[in-house]
Amino acid sequence: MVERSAARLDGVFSAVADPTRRAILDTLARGEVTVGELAARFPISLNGVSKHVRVLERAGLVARDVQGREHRLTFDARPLEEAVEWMARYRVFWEARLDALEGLLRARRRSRRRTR
Amino acid sequence: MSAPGTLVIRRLIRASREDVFAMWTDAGSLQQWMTPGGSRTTAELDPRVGGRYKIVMHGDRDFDHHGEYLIVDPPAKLSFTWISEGSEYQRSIVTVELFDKGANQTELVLTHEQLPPAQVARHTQGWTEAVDKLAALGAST
Repeated sequence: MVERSAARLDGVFSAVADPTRRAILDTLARGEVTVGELAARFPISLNGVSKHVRVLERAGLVARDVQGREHRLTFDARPLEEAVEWMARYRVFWEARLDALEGLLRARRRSRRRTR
Repeated sequence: MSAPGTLVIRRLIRASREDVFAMWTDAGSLQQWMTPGGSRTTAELDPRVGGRYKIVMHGDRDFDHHGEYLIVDPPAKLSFTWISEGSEYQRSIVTVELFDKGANQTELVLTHEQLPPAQVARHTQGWTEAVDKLAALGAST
């Protein structure tokens, strides 16, 4: 369960680490498009676009709906929310721990003064 | 400009660099502040390059954290790998740098790297809103 979640996060991080794939997601976030329409908007081959789309599909960020010869692509933000939550969690964690570290140093300073 | 997936936190602390450094490398001290939610924490630290540490936070259940020291340069810099349930058992890197600000003040800069790319955080709000709008359009038709 945890391993599956880690593998999923790996997929999301590597998927969005590429500027072309981020641009594809930006496009899809504005509405669904076909692979052909997508290729027309990017200065890369249909084959190149297909490869990027497959990476995004594996990361769960893009869903493909096949209707005859048309492949319609839609964007799914849910895996991203998980990734952001992970980062936010650590900010909260470290801020709170540093508060505690400072508090402990302050308490020690006070007790040193008292025993002097 | 920090690398994608990097979390940076800065703090000005009223203590010497030596005292702040010891808070990270002395197990007895670390056990007193590495206590999220007031948990009891036990720590075994071997703060030398290549040495390992294990920190267990005892909450409703035990939360294990472990890793290896990469840089141990008192009282200026400490860097270690951080592997835990919270990091989804992925290897991340925590670096603590201490700068002398005079008058018994230390600036602490904590960097937690190899977290999700920063672009994710920047883009998500926009994307999520767009998806919500699409969903609303879908619902109203």
